[in-house]
Amino acid sequence: MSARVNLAASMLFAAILAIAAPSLCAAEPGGDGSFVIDLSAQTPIARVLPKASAQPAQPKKQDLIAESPAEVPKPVRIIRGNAEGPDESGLRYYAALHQDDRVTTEINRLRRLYPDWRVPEDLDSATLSDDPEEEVLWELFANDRLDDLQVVINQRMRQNPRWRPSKDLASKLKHKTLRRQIMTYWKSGRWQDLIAASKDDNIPGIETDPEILWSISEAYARTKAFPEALNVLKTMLSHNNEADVRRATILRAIATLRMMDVEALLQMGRTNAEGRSEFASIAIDITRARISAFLHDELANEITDPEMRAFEDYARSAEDFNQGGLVAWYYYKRKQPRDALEWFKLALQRGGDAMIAHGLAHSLRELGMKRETEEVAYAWREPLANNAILFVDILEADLTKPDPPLIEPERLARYARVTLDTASGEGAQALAWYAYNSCQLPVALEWFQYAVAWMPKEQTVFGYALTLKKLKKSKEFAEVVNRYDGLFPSVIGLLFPDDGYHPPTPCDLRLDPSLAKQVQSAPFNVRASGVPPSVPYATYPVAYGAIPRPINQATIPLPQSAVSPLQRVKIDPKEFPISVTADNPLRYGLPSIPRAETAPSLALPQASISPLIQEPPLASPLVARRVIGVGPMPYERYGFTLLPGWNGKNAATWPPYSAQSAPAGTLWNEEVKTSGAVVAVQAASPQAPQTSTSSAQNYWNR
Amino acid sequence: MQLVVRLLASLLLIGVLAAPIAAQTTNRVPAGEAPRPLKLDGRALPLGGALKSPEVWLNYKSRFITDHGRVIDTGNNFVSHSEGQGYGMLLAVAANDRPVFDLLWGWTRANLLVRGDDLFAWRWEPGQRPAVADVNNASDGDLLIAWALTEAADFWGDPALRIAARRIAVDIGRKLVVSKSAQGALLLPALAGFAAEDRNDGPVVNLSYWVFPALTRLQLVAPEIDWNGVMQSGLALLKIAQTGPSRLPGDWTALRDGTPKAAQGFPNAFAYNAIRVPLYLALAGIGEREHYEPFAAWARHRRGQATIVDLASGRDVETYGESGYAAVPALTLCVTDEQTVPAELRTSSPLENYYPATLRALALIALQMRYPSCLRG
Repeated sequence: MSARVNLAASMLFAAILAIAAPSLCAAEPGGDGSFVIDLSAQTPIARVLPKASAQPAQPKKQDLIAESPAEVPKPVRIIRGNAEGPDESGLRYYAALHQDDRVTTEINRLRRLYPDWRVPEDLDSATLSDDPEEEVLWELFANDRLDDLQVVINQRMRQNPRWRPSKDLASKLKHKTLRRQIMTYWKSGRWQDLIAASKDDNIPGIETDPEILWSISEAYARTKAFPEALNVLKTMLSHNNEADVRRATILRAIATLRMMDVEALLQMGRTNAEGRSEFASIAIDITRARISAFLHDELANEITDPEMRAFEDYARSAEDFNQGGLVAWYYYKRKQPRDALEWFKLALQRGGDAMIAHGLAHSLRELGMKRETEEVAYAWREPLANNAILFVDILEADLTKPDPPLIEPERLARYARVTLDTASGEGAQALAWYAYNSCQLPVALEWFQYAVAWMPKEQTVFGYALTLKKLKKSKEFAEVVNRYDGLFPSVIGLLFPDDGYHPPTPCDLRLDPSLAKQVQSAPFNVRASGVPPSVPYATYPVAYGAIPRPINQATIPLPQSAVSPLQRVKIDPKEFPISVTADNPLRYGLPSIPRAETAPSLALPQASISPLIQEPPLASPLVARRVIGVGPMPYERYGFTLLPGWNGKNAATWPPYSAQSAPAGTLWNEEVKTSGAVVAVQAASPQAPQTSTSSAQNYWNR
Repeated sequence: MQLVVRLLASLLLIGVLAAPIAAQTTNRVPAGEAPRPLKLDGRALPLGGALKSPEVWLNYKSRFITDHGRVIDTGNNFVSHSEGQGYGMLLAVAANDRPVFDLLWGWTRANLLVRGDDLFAWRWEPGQRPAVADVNNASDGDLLIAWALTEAADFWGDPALRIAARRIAVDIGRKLVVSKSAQGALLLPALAGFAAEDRNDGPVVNLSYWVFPALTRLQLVAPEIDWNGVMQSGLALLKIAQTGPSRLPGDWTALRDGTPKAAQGFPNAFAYNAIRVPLYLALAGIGEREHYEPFAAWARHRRGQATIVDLASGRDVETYGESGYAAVPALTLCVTDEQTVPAELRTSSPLENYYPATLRALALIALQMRYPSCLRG
């Protein structure tokens, strides 16, 4: 698991969460026909929030309005606008009918939704249509019963083919219908349909309807047509002089457009006589968006120091821990871990969640405080998988050192517990190597069995085979080596000498101090490792923390059968090659920890047990075949060959896939470039294969 | 509207130059008749317990899953692959069968997680020495396994499964997603052999490896990965890869120079791989009519029978012999035409092989989850 990716996760989390601050909003139709700006809408928060994280309850939209910070403008409520202003058709209709109570109600409604609106002076002169029967139609229109209205119109046109609704009604109906359709598409995220609908021509008033233009812009943005999205909002800013609408346009842009496009819109901002930007009151939102863009590697204007200080002041006083968290991730990405640490601490004090703790742990790691990192990751492992992974990986580095440091028994015990609870192959192999390198071979064997069951990578199977060999478990050793013949050269290498010098392990030296002399005098062509122990394991002085034994292990017995001689290299024919079953018999299930029965009510009952197919007991042949992506086997230097691979290819793969370079354009490739690490592509002779090494293990320790 | 329309018209011209747009499918609609928008629900729905037909699962596991936890490709020499393990795990969680899920996951990691990273060797053959035939991965298999673990973690509330899902998902995102390509975030079919630097016609992609429903759910475990970007690139590629008389996408598509072409060394056909594209679209509840229309035309053309189409000529070259394949055109016509699914496709067949049985089961889950109206009557 790459630490960088963990961090990327966290930073994006932070950006996403912080950007959803209460002051940010997206326009959403309100239930009363008005439009409430709610920037929390249509953001991916719901999709990215970890279920386990303890998030404060999301306030309702109304709450958001009430709780908006002072420096941020209140969410704007905008009535459906068009070139003629608010929709006054209902008002005029009631005025024409002289229904004063309903006129008053309608006036109040319009004033509430549209504070700048004024009662039309010509309201007294409102008259009904010449066609008295159209009054019914207007009433349907005023009550937003557009489907019914259309039905009635169609009916009348069928009855009287020469009849048409008045131009006024037809025009308003078309506008209202299209508007409703666009907002329906917007709500359901049908962006292409929305764009198609927006291209309907001759709809009066649409071009100055903020809600519609925001929706169209968002539809373009969601379909990656950013230039179109930007230009729609540019049109808005060019034609609309209402301060609330202009600010809301910027906020909508922040929520949906790329930051570089938002910056282009900000360029269109006006300043007053004192030189104050019309967007000054949403400066915090703009800075927040710039920080988010920085974390996303998006182009945006540089954040100036005064701007950052202002945001820090805001974040320091904000109750929402995500604001401080955003500052923390900003500093983390700027490689200022000490600043990041302080902000993560503050965010945690404000009720920060497991992701904030994750950032805290990574800041500690960057500062070289590994023990503290381990503690934070352990404490926050349950609410967030990232922390559990970090906990396993941070200690793995120490556990798998060839000459491992002393680790306190209680730390080992909890590491073992987490390893078993999470069925972690990484943790199991780390404990196995720690046990192996500290001369606790029986314990190492048990952990290797778990590791091979959960993640049988080459180094792990090698360690398992090596441990079996040292414990003189010849039968099991032979089975493992034969099972991975053709796949793992290093495992086969345990049988075939490579004429290289392999120094004794620290454990070897402890078991047999005389090996130290060999180390000092050994020529390079002497293989000094692999010396069998001379005393029973139980009597070994254990200088390291005792590794707890895994529990609940269960192995499936392995059959073995035919043998074939390999005389030239003095291989015991009972050892190699022998026929073994193809699949890995180590298949531990998840640990039997208590689990809640969590079948949702709508689910099926627990599926009944039914017979499965019995795995046919096919024994493997004695000659291995090529595995695509694997280098040559060590015995090939003695003239032995392999059968063709499944695709008919005869040659070994070189370099093997395990040493391949990262594909260009991937995060992996970026990591390699950034870290300066060399991907181990061994272009040298295939006669000297190198399996990818891990810093974890002393590869040739035998 | 005029102002906006004019403005957008000029901008669209720029847009066309910047990003090729798929040929309009609206010309298939009779003149004057606007295509009906699809009734899709693109929410990322949980899969756990979604299979409401116990008989389908009982039949499936008794015919394709061994007591060791291996999913057998009965139509392909009884081999196994990461894809099959992923499908088995998905069906197990959809059927709420935790014991079999654990068995499948146990075998999968014990036998395919041999690469040294968190991706899976894609091919495993019983009775061979060694059984792993190729240590290259297959992105669809990796995605399916990660998705199944995600669903299982979500459904059964098991943090161990969530951690495993996250490790796999992160490695997919790190190693297999080529970001900022001309087509967006591309999903390489495997780590070796398909990148731009690996082939003259590279990058080569397989559109059926875009497991759309997985992409929407992996947000749960690895939100830092641009799954939405991957999904959008898949949708965009689907449009521009609709070439030739049938307008169907091929199994393998070369993207050198940004223009989709048939990949060298692969049949230029809409066949066993690409048949999953409409299945995944429908299972995720995403896409537009433009994405579905070529598949719908293919489905209507043979009245629900599934065929392999030669993309150069646009002609059918083979009709799939097993009925499970027909579940895909039936599902497609459900989405596009709201057509009722034939009764025989709502249950399992005791005779068909692993692959059509899997397509049938997944299509049934899609119908039960998102399109129940097509199962009425």
